[in-house]
Formats: sequence, structure tokens, C-alpha cells
Amino acid sequence: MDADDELCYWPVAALHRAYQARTLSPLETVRAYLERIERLDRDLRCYITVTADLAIAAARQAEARAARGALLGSLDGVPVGLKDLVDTAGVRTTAHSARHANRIPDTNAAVVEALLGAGAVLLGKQSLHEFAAGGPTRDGVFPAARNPWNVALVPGGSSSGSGAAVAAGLCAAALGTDTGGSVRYPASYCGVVGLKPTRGLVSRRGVIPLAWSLDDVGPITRTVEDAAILLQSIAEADPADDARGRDRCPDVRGRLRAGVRGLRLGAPLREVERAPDLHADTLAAYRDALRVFERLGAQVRSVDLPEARHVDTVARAIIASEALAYHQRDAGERPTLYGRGFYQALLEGTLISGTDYVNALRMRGLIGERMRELMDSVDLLALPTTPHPAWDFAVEARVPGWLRSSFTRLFNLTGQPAISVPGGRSTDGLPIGLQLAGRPFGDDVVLAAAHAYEAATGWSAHRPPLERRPPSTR
Amino acid sequence: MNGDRVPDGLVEDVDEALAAVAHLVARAGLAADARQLGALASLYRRLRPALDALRAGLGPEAEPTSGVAPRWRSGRVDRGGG
Repeated sequence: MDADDELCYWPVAALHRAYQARTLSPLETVRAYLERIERLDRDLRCYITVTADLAIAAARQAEARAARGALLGSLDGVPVGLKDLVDTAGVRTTAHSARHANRIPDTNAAVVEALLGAGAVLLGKQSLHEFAAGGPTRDGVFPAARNPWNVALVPGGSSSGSGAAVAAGLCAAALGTDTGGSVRYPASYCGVVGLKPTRGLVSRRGVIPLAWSLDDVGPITRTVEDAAILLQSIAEADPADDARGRDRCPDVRGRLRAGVRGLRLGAPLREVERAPDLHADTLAAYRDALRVFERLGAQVRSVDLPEARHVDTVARAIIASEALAYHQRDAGERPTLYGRGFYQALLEGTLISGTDYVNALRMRGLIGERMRELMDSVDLLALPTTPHPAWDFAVEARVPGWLRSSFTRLFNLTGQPAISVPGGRSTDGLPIGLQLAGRPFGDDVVLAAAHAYEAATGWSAHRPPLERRPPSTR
Repeated sequence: MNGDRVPDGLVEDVDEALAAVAHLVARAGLAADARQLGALASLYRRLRPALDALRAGLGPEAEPTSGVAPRWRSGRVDRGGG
């Protein structure tokens, strides 16, 4: 790995320090990323659109600000990517679908305004599962992203390109969206950090929805500190988003080193062990993680999750209904504009009656009430992010969604913050994610715990072996 | 989402599950080929009992809710343990 490649793995915080000290040029950094994308993305397919000219122009502006000692903040000159369902004015936003293959929005999403206002440099728009559901696209207008740890494996989704790009050093950080785990899954499969913030902390305005009542926008980064930097930059009360919270964003950076001593950590071991597709390596990594937290001074206690047997049904009913409500007219009139995987996801919505949907909403309310009671007795919950490490594309296509366990959807139903942080490696050398969830608007506590765990274990420093393999074996 | 509700008793029968999902898909104004309908029927046979269990799990004592996420008590983390 040469110096430019090494630069592409610098954390956001380190880039900022070097820009401030004028020991590193934003323009050189962006050029290094663009060269790496040109070289590696032919195999990895993380990007749908690379905005090279815009990135160079923005980097020049950041360079000028750095020279004047007038950097806008921690993200100034930092190269970022966006899941391609986040609207960007003048840059096509496709949702990885033929339906939007040439769609160019007039306005930026609220989070894009926040990022660009902070000086971030947009490298491009990243691959996803079509409209954020339905699995890797096999028949779409754009290729599916691949896992940089092994290109035969899925990177996880639906923010697949964003997770893979961050892991491969093809952007310093990215924004994804998470409706049932779509930030946390790729983070887990690709060995990076993914945060689903508290619902209402980050505006969804200008983001193409999958399910209005469950969608959240969140950062994918290589370190927990970088996730805190991005969250602090994009969190804002938005009157145009009906899920906005009344609380302001906690000082997630200032409290990052608060540690976990004295915190009560709930471990739902019974639910975890009951998952039929739980991988032995994932369980072992989870148990190891609990021991790490005990060593760090947390009190680990066994808990039961509320209404665990209904969580997947509730999430499935809500997502399928809301997705179909959004797409029903086009899916009926122009079905060929949708890939088979996403169209099948839309068909599921036809099975949910009006009373089924209402009952799912009622059960979500009960789950939330019981979760609130549980969170009175613990400060955090710890679970594996996914039941198993990444599997290959053939298995992904073969195993239907309803036969898969999920440890992530619960927190979309309750709106709690939840993070996936690298938590080990399988016997095959693949990343395993650890998930931590906290109380709503307790994103600072979640990030501080993840940061303490990261510092104690060092899993976030592991990188995919991209440079060590000849192209023929990728 | 669809207004129709197929009786629970049909869920064990594969052919009737297929007929039911074909009806629901058409009613929603969508189209599906045989493979798509087959996959949907398999899901339907599992989903229908799960949805019925969910309804039963609400119980008669369940309070009506708009489905909006519950209100959370404010308050910081108590690091004193206990």
C-alpha cells in the first residue's frame, strides 16, 4: 500500500487535524481518493455516479480556506459519499432503479445541505438495493456493490455501496439510510461503523422513502469518533420533517470519552441464542464483547426483549404497506421499471390488509412502551448486529427474507439509537458486528460505549486485504 | 395494503393460498408471474398466522394507539450503578 492509499484510510478527525496544521492538502486528498476509486471500483462497484469535477472544485475551495486558516469545521475538505437515494441538486439520484435512472433533483436533501455547508467534498453517489429493499439488484440498470473483504460476498444492505466504499477506502465517510438495519448491516458485513440515530435527530427531507414511519439517515464511518463528527454535523431540528424530535442533539463529541464504568448493559442472550441462523462465530464474538464490557466496568445483566416474537411481523407489515403505498401507481402502470427483487418486495404489501397494518402499528406502540420499561432498568442493550457474517450472492438470492432472523429491526420500531461497531472476525476472517442500542436521544451514551469498546479491542483498525490480492482472485 | 382479508383456514392449502395471493395482487392493480406468485404464496402461508398471532397478542386490554412512537421520559443516565 503506497502513501496515497494509506491516506485514504485516515480517519476524518486526522484529516481535519492535518488540514489545520497545513501538513496535508484537501486537493491532494481528494485526488488520492478519485485515483483509488478509478482503480478499485471496477471490481467493487460501490459508486453509481462519481462526481469528480465537482469534487475537485470543492477541494480547491477547501484548500483556499485552509490556506487562510479559515476551515469551516471538522468536515471541511473531507471526501464523503452518499447513498444514491439522498437528493443532490444537479446530480442524478437514481435509487438504483430504472425508474429514476436519469432523475436529477433540483434541490439538496437537508443532510446534503448540512454536509456541503460544513465544507464536505462529495465524491459521488453510492450503490444500494433498489429503493432500499429487495436485496442486491441482479437485473438492475446498475451493478450490485461487492464486499471488499471478498467480492464473492454481499456487502450487506441496503446501503451496500456506502458500507463497501468506507471499508475499501473509497471515501472517508458516507451517509446511508436505515429502515430495518440498512446502515448497520453493511457496517457489520464490511467491518466498519454504522449509526442509526434516534428518530427525529436527523432530517429525512429530500431522501426517497422506503417506509416513512421507520426510515432514518445515519453515518457509515471507519471509527466511532468519525460517526460522532458526522452526526453532530447533520443533526438539526427540521420543521419540514414530521418525525423531528423536540430535543436537541446531545454533545456526542464532547462526551465521546465518557466510558462505560457503572453503566448497566442489557444482554438478551436468550433471544440471541434462539435465532435459528445464528453463526457460532457470531455468538462467540458476542460473548467476548460482553466480557470486554465487564472488564471496562459495565454491569452486564441478562434481559428479555419485549414482544420479540412479533417484531419481525410488525416491521414486515409496516415496511411492505408503506413501500407499496409509495410505489403502487408506478408498479401497476410500469412494472418493468422495477427489478424483480424490489418488485417482489412490493408484492408483499398486497398481503397486508388495512386492519393488519393498524394492528402492526398498535403492536409497535406496545413494543415501545415495554421497551421504555426495559430501558428504565438498563442504560444500553448489546446484541450481535447480524446473525452471521456476510454470505455469498447465491445464498443471498436463495434464502427468502422471512426465514432470516433480525437483531436490528426492533430499534427501527422504537426509534432508539443503535450502532454497529466492528466486534470480531470469523474463522474465515470476515468481519462480525456488535450492536449497541440506547435510549432515544441518548446517542451520546451509545457512541461513548462504542468508542470505549473500539479502543479496548482495536477491531476497527482491521482492513480488507484489497492490496494483497491479485485481481484474478478477487 | 389491501382491504380484502382471506379466511385463515385457507392458509394450509397451497392451491388456495396461490388463488388468494393472485386475487390480492390483482386487486392492488399489480401483476405477477407464476414464480412470483409461488414465492408470495409461500410467504402468505407463514405471514397470515403470524399476523393473526400479532392481533391476538394485542389482547382486549390494549389501549388504542395511533402507532406513533411512544413518549420517552427524559433524564440522563445514572452512572451510580445499582
